[in-house]
Amino acid sequence: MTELLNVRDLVVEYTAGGGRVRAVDGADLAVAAGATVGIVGESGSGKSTLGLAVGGLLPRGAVPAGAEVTVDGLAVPLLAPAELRRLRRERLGFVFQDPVGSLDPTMRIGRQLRLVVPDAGGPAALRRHLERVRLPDPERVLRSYPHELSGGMAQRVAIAMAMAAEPRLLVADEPTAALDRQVRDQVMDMVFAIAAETGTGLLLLSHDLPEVVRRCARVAVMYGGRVVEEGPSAEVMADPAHPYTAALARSAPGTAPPGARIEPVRGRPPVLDGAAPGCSFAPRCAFSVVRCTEERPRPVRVRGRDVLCHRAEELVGAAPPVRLAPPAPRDGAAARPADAGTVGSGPALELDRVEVVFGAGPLSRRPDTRALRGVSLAVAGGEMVGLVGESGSGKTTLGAVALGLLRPAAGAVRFDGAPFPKRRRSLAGRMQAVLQHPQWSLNPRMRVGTSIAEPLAVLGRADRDGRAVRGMLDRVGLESGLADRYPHELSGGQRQRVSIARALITAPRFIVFDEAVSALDVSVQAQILNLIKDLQGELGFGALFISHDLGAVRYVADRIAVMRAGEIVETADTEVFWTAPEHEYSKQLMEAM
Amino acid sequence: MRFASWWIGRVASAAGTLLGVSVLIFAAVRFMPGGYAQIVLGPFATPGERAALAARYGLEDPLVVQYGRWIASVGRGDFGTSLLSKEPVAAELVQRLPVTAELAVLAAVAAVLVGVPLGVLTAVRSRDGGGAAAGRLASGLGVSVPEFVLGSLLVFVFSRYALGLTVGGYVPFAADPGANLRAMALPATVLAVAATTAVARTTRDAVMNVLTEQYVTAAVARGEPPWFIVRHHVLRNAAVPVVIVLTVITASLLGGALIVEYLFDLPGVGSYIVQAVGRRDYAVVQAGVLLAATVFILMNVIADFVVGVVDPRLGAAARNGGV
Amino acid sequence: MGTRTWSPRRRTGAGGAGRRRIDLLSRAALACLVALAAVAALGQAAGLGGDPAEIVGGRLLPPGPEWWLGTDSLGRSMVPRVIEGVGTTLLLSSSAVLVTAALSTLLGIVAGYRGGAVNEAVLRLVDVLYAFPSIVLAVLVAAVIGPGRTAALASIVLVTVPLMTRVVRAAAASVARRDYVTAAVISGARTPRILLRHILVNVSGTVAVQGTYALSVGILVEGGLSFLGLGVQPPESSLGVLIQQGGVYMVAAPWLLLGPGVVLVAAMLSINVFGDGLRDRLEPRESRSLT
Repeated sequence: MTELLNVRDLVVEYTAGGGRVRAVDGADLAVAAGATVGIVGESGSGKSTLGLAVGGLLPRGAVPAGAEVTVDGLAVPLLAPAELRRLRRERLGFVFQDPVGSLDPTMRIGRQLRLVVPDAGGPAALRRHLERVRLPDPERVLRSYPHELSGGMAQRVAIAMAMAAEPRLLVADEPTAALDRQVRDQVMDMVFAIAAETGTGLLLLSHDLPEVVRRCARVAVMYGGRVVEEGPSAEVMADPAHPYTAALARSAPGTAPPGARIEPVRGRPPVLDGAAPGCSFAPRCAFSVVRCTEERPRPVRVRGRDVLCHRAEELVGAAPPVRLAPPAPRDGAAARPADAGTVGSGPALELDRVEVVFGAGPLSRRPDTRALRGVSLAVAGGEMVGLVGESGSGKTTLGAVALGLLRPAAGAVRFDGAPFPKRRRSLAGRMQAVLQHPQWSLNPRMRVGTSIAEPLAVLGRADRDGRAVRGMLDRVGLESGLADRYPHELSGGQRQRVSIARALITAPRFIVFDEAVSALDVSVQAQILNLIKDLQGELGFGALFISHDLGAVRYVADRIAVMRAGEIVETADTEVFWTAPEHEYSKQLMEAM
Repeated sequence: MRFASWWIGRVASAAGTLLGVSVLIFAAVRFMPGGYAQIVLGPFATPGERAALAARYGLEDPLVVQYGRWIASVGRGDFGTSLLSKEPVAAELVQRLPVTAELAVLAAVAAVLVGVPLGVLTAVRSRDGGGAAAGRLASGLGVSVPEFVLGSLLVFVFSRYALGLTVGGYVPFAADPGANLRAMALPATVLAVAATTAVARTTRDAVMNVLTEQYVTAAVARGEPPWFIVRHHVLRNAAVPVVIVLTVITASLLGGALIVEYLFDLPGVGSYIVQAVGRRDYAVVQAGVLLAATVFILMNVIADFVVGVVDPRLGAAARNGGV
Repeated sequence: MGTRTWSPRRRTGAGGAGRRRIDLLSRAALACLVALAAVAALGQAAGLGGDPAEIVGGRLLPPGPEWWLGTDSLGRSMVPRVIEGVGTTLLLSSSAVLVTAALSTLLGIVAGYRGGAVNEAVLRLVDVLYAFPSIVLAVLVAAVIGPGRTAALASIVLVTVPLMTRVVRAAAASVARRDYVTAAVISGARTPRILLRHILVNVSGTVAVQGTYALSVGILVEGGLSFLGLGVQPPESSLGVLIQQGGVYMVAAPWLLLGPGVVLVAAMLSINVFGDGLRDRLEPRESRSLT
């Protein structure tokens, strides 16, 4: 058997935050020599833990001694420390998510590389390692410190270091999640090319199902610490056997058929204490029956794959097939959501040749950064404009200007026809925002209800009987009892809903959504996007939806504006843009999708 | 060089702080309750005597002028005259400085030699369990026993049972190294205990922080042995907080020197200041405090330099307009 | 992207961050400290051990059944003297630390939130004070306003304000960058409201931790100053004074030193251990093995 990696019924359990956590609850996985396998899972799925288990990198005691984790014929849990280190040095390579963080910040790249391959030979050999990962100007990189490199370059270096010892298996844990879309593609292309060239097996861990399916030969879907479905990628995607796989496939914004709503996976990720009997997906499964909550599913052979579902055989053909091909254009009528609600007479928000410059300080010899160079944009009442761009494009700065948090160096900003008032307070709740991080969007020491009611309190309109708050909670799909809870008791998706409730409570005329769904799990993103879309249709506020995710923008926005390097390069109605983007950069973005 | 411009900025900032310190010291003495003249001459002085004193010391001039005069004389090396001994303060300071310096250096060296390895070891070995509690108590003890308690204790023990070490009886190093070390051993130990504990704790914290970084995980995943990781990755990255704590140690050493010199009867700058306070010899107090603060600021500047060399990101942070 | 990836080192979980308890050792330390304070307060009120000023027997007598900590050079029982000493030390240091906490918190949150010139000014001011070694600053204060209780109190405040201000300022600055503060600004909240309801509330943990450390510094400074004869003056006594007096007669009567000395060390140890536990609970850290 030329199995490179074999994991059978792995259970990983340890103590964290005062309780036992069962991160992996009986997972099976096999990777053949030279194969590319992707593990898809959201937070709490256990995929990262599984990846670490391959290298024996989990804390002592987390993996039982009898567990079967075999790499290249060697049983990892049984190896002595020195042998384990040799295994890692010679047969395994790891790449982690944070590119710059994987490199020692106080050491130049060249020296770090030399530590990895001490008998590499001269500088020419080191250069070759960097050339292999397609780094331009390897000489300069060798001399640089990690913080001087961009995310993409740093990740290439990390990959070079992982591949330097010619491992037999490369484990990559979300290697591109922190990178921009375009860079992401280039880096992934490079990784797969190298793996193919050297015959290295590749285990890719990711939350991005479409991406994994596109690149890996086989895919394993993990949920609640178990591998619920595994098989050849194309087959799994076209014809998912497990309800979770099917739901996941349908909830990614990029894969939804045109005009259709994306279907979120309802509910929240499971609690990993290993206590619940039955299938861990049952609470969220549309097809669950009583047996699902009582009995743990065992692998069932369906469509040539092993699936962890009691009803797999029955459900064959029940889920409609999902296609990944680029969706056909929407016709004009369905393009714009119902024009319900007030449409203002003039633009709600208008930016007129706005310029923003960030000074570098009097002592610095660097030039000032021109974050916005003469940007003009108008958003009508009732209209949602999506603002797309990579990091550094200036879209966040534009959002800050729109909100009045930043004063432009030149140009004008008008709200409801009038120039921006000097004091933000005078806007009196007519403009609001929903920001990115569910973690920090709410004051951890303030009850949810108080946070929601704060905009009212600031205006002197205290919500004495709590009716407004309850009404809002209801509107965003949360139960009113949540008002008395604290943020840490809520999930990321719930917290974002609360942020939205807070933004809506003063019935604002305009809302800025700044990467409002980017930090959420894919299945939850869909829920929130639907909510935003519905609310805008109902209440008719004007909105600016800022995101790097073209798929999400396409789903909610009426018009799209593309930003690059401080300028808006193209504006168009969403569907027009989708079928025929004009600008070169827009085309690149579309292709990267 | 970017680093150079950053460091010069730090030096300028330190100079500013020193200026502020000098102003504070000047003001503290000039604005004493009761007035300078009264304190110097006592409550029974006649108005005539006070006026004469005021004229002699220029106490009626504008404050800025007085300050300027004082700074100018300090710059010349003239720290005034001791009220008690009628000798120039500067000369006395110069004579006493080597004692305090030797004390501080001995304690600092001990703190580094013992504290850093201890910190690294406890960090690397730390997981959970009973060892942690004992360790915390031990390190807690180290910082909880004040110099005056430990010092008194040692004086008591070694006055009863000499064990070859002496209490008091200072002899300059040049004259008789053996006797000098025997006299300095106890006071240096007292200072060293608190310093070593602080260094060990900070080192342990710094190393533990480094151990959770992703590049350490990456190194472990590459199969690098633990000692290799410590040597190449941990030490350099943990160095910054350690260097910082070393400068903070100087401050406590300078302070502790006051108490220890008083206890062990050593003729250093510390005991000089303490005696002067009791006898209201303000010129001495001014000079001594200024000296102590200057040394501390200087140590900070040196620390900034070392840290900037060790961690390339700090120079970069300055490049981006300051942290 | 912390919500997505998940590694066994981080403490995320579907339930979110829960409240964790301060560990056992720290709670024991707190109990010890509270006990000390209680003994001091109640003991003095109840006249435990007798009158500190009363001469009860011979001089320099060793500990015995009648006077558990012996007698001093004037024949006074050490038990009430130590109780009085603890009371004075704790009272003085805690009052000073309360003043420090109020001042530092105010300066810190305003400077941290406003940034810019205000920030710079506060930092510069604090740096000047910070440049003095603590005892040296205390001695200067004592030289200027004259030795005594006031000098001790003022010294403690001046010595502890700089570090605490710096730490609170840094914490306030990082809180000020968070999205919920931005949301409040967007909603039109005024600065006082933001400072009070958002910033202060979220740095209170840091203030508590720093306050604990400041208390231990305060006891150290008061003790040192009184030991040098520049702090609390006899006939009032504090632990520092007692230790100094004990030091004089140490050779003949070591218990004079050991009694107050042990109590002082116990107090400081409790504070430091508790402070560490408080800090660990508020700012947790994961551990990692190198194998």
